[in-house]
Amino acid sequence: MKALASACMLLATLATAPAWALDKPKGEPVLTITGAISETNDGGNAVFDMPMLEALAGRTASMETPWTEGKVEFSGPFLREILKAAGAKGTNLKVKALNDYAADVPTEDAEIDTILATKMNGKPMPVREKGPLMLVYPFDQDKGLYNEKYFGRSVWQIKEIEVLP
Amino acid sequence: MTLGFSPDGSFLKAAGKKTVVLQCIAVVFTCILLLLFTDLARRYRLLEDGIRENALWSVYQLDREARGLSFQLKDIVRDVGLDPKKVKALGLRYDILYSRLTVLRESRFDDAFEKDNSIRKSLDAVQGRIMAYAPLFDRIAGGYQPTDAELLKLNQDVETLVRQTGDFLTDANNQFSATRADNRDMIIRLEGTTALFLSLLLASIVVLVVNLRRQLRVVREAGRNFELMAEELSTAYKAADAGNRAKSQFMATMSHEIRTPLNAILGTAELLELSELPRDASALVRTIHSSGEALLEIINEILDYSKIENGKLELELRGVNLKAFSKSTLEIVRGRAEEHGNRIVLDIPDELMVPYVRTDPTRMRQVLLNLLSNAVKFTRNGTVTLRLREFIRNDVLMVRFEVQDTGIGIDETGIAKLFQPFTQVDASISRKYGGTGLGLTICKEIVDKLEGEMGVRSELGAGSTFWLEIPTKIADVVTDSPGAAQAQVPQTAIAAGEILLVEDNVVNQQVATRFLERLGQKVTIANNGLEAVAIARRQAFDLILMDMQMPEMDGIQATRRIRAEVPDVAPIIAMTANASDDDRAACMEAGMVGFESKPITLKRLRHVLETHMKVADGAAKAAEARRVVALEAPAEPEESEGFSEARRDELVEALGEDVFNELVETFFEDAAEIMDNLQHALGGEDAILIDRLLHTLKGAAINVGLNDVAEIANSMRVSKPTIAGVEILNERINAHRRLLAA
Repeated sequence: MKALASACMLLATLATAPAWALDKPKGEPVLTITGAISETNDGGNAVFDMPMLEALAGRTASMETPWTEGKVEFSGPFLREILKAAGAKGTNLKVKALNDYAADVPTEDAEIDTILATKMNGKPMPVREKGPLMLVYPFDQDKGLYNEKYFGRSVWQIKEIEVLP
Repeated sequence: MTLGFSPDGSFLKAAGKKTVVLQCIAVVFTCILLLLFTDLARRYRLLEDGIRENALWSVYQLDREARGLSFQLKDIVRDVGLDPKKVKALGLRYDILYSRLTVLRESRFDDAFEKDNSIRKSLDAVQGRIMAYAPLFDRIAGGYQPTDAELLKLNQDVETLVRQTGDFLTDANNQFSATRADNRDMIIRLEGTTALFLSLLLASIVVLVVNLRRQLRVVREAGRNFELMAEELSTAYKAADAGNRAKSQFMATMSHEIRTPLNAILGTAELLELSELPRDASALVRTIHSSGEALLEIINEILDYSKIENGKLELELRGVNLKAFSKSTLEIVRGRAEEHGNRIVLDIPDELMVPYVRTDPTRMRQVLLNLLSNAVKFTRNGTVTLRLREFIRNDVLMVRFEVQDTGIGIDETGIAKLFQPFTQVDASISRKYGGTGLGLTICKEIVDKLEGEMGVRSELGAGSTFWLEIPTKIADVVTDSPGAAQAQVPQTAIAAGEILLVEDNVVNQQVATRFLERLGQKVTIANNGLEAVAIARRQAFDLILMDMQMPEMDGIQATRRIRAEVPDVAPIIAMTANASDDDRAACMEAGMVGFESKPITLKRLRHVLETHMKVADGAAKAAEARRVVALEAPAEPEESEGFSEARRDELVEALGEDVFNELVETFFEDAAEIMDNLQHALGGEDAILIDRLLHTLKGAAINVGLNDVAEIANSMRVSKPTIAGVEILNERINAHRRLLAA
């Protein structure tokens, strides 16, 4: 009786769990998630290449930012989808850039439509133009975000996100 | 009264002006403050513009990336071989540096940063240098391995770049610091100005509030003062009014007081004249009579005036035969005119347009008599003319009377004073001619009341013409009564007749009987209404005198019954101590033709007999006679307290001492019985019985001159009678009894 119940619970858990095996990146890795994550594909880390990121749910949005001239169209996966894919369990993120610049971002910022932009105006972003990844807050949706607090968290040339428990 | 503020309100005006000025100042300060605040806010927004990227941070990043590139380059140059990984890392460094440059070029920074010339120059220099490396790095990205020489040259160049970016950073920082300091200074300055104006505004508001409070206090004080003033004024007015009323009342009372003994004097003189006297005694009696009448006239004038002052002058409009009226009026002064050797002329058209008009003949006659007697008084051996004309003005029939004399005349200043009360043309007039000076004032009031006009034309020494014009209407029936002319009409002997006296009180019965017998009448007595009806049914009378309040059946009811049951009945005259207009109306309505107030005097009884017995002769005249409105009765009952000597004298004169004493004795017997009944009735609370007893007592007391007893009885009728009240009444009666017995 007890065994049957346990089996049922196990089945239920299996049915609701997402695809858990994070595939190894086929192309050049662009993003590494480290820290408190459950899904890994490279030692203790989760590594993504562009196609993997672009396969995640995301959005395309036009907005003005302090660093660009006029309206610019950004597109890319939601931050929350990336964190989910890596099985992140933390309250804070340390978002690191190629030049070792890092900003602390609370995970609740991932609950809004924050994306990790992979394309600007439909084109991939080279390092010279703040690529390859840039954290873009939904300034178009919420004007309240348009201040230095979120400017500081808008990291470009992202290479790594460390999930802090 | 002292007032706590200047009566012209100059303080209030000044305070008001001050308030307006202060309000203006406060408004100006507020506007300035608003402007300052707007300015401050605008500047602050500029300073703290949240949507601008931090320029200094970007410059620092640029400098940092330049150093990063330099460091990487040095690492490669130091190595002997060329490590492709390091070259790739170098490429990445360059890309990052390039992106920082882009940020500086494209980001939106402060105007102060973007528009500063030295910053722009530094940025241009740095950009030129970095852009120059682009071809090489493009090639490296394409897989090209740079030569040592290329790397060394680049290293040298990047060192210069690092110096430049370092200077750029310092410049930018200096520029930022300066801007921040300037802004801070400006804000501090603005804050200072704002604080200054704020304190000024506060000060002006404080002054404004203080001023307003002061104003409010003054206004409140003024209001209180006005209230006090109004109160005092109203008290003063009431006092003045009360004084005036008291004066009028006093005048009325005094006139009555004088009139009563005067009536006795005149009555006595009349009686004396009728008796046979020696020639000189007869002349003396005539003098007494005429003097008495003159005095009566004066007193009547004063009474009239006080009535007019109290607004009690009332008109009784009747149809008047103008010709007969004028003739009879002129007849009255004929005697006096002849005494002064004056000729009397009546100037009246042969055919009057309207011979009968509607007016108040008594008052008209009063006015004309006054004017005529003045004319006669002030004319010696001349002519006095009474002229009558009729004319139409604005569709209204006007009657114009003129009294013209050839006497002493009046000058202009005299004319101005003519119609003022208590004035005469000059003081010597009153010494020479006498008079109260009220006559013309009364005339004017009466003419005003009749809605007419009055005036005078006069010339000193040539005589005066007084005129009056009164609007009237055509009368259909003439009901002119003898009225005021009666006194002067030569007395005719009254035909002996049968009189029915209906009266429940023994004293009153006796007095009236004596008077009537003295006037040659035969009297039958009925003790109440029922008896009166029974007697009237079986016996014919020439006149019925009817008391109003009686046991069994009252006067009104008895009158109705008699008039209903007895054909061709004699005129019925009411006799009562209640002299209100309502009572009169009730009497008239029941079919009575006259109304006499108690106490009844010999003279009035004679008048009543003269008036009604004559009319009663012709049955044809009876109907007309019933239309005659009530004869004038004394306006108010006598109000003197205690025992009226005048009444006693009158009774003694008319009835003799013995009869009077008998009467008084009867009264006291009656009174004792009434008081007994009253005490019983009080126990039984029979309000109607109590009232009747008091009424009877009042009538009887007035009849024998016990005015105070009558007064108390009457007041007890008005308020609820009490045992204590009855005691007081009893005491008064006993006091009189003792006094009269003594």
